[in-house]
Amino acid sequence: MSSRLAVARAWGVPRTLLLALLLAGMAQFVATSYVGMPSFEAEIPALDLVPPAAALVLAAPLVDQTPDLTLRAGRPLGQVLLLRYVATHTAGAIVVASLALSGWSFERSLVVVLFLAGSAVAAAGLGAWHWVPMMAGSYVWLLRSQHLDDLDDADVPVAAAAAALVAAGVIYVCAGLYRTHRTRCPRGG
Amino acid sequence: MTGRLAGYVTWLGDRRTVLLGLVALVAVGLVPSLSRGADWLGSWKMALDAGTFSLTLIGPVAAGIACATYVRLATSGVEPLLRTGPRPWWPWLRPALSIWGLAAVAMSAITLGVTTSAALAGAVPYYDTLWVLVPALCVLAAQVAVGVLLGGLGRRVWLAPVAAAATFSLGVLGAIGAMPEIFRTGGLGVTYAGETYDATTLGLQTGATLGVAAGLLLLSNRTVVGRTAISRVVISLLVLLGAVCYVVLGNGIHDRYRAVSDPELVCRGDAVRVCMARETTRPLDDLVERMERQASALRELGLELPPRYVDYLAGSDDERQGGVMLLVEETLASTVSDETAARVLTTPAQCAAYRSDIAPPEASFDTRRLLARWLLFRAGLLQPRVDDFDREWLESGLEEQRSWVTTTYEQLRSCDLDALRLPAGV
Repeated sequence: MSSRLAVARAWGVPRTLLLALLLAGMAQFVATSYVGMPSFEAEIPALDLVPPAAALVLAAPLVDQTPDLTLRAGRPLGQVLLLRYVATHTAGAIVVASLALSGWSFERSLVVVLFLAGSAVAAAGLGAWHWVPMMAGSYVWLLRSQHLDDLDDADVPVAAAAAALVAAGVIYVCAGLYRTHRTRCPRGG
Repeated sequence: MTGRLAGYVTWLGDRRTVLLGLVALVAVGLVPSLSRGADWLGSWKMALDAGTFSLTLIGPVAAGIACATYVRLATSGVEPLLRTGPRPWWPWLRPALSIWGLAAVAMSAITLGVTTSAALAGAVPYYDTLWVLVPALCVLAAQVAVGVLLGGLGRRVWLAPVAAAATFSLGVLGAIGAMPEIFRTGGLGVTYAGETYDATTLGLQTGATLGVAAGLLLLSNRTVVGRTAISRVVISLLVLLGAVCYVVLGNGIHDRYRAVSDPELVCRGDAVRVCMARETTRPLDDLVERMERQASALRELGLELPPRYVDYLAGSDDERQGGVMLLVEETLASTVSDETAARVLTTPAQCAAYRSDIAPPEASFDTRRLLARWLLFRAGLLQPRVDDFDREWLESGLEEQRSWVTTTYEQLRSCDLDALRLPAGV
């Protein structure tokens, strides 16, 4: 096994890509379905559940399960963190493509980018517990989605998605660098 | 922290972590409880329903926490040690009990908060319905057990959010009818006026969720949990009970609430007597006040009001009394609009046609709407616009209107809805 593949496996990248493919396949399968949720006034499109699911299950590479090894990484730490972030969004891109092919506009599908950006910010602050605020946020998003008067309101402008992608990436990388710095120099030295 | 309590929460973390976990659980639980705003302020039973509905997110998050905890427990190497004890299932299940307890405290805190708020807003408490917390706590046990199973068998940290998503999905599967709704707790959106929780349905749910919880906990570590004869017997009985309840719930209709046979009413007002179900009296004083102001126009014409107006939701169907037909949001709000008060005044009899499967004649809607506008106009609460279809008639003077108003009102009182006509020229 090459060292790159070993690192990718340690980060959970192949598994995350597999989960992304599974989620993308499910999106195609439920594309025309609606689900009734307790306390929701009307049934919601099953596709609305896909972006929250992506935020929960595709963010695993963002969490460092082997911090001791990371400290001894050959590459610059910023680059390592950036690669983790890219891996997550690569998996997200598979879901974006599936949603765009299932009837959603490309702009609407970009909401997955926002969700994964949210996961990255949550992972920057909470590490392995990133999914807790994302669950609450997802529920609020589902509540908001059912009250949209116009489908165009669900569209995410490409510029907004790009801005969120960059901003969340900067926050995630900076938080990771700061955390490692504190680990190496616990008294701030 | 006392030694005993510290033992329970060892696998959750230190005291600060446990406190933060509790705060997080309360925070996420408030999201579904407040998803419809605070409309539950108008009904204590509805507030109780909103409190237990917090499990919609507390349950999945507790499942995720359980999963992460059991991954740590399963990979810590203590398992061989557990097997040597006389009751090996106890140390294995103790973290699950701690997480269940922590989530139960979060749900109870939210329930206490929303029900107290409703009581302070004037809703009458029904403490005898607090038993619905028991089925809710059993649902929570089953949700936590999902996390224990995935963590105990999967042994991967990344499974925690998957456990949370899977637990939430079980609720969705129940909602769409793919399985009996055993993971549902509250969120019905009904006012519970003249209604209460159905003990049979919730009892079956309790049995089913206990069976699911017992089965999943056994599967999470069969050698440890099923090691003693007593644990095997208890789990087998619970699973058997759960299976029976699950099958019964899956057949036929099982509503979570039922009508109360003799609902209590609360009546206010002397000049205009209005009665609402005891559960939902929040807008009653305001409704009476607005109706009294507008009813003087009817009295001026010598028309007799019904002895009382009664809330339809309270299950009353006596034609001799007026009907209070309010929308759910009107029933729960603290005030009503003048238009709503006028609408109630134009229902001087609880005609069977209003609740029949066959809609009343179209003219009955138009005439009641015009009569309501006339009441608002006479009370100085409506100024017709230039382009209003009825402006000319409304401004034509009382003598011009007397005949139509009197005839229409008497026809509404006698439920002669087919005879209702709009005045000439409108």
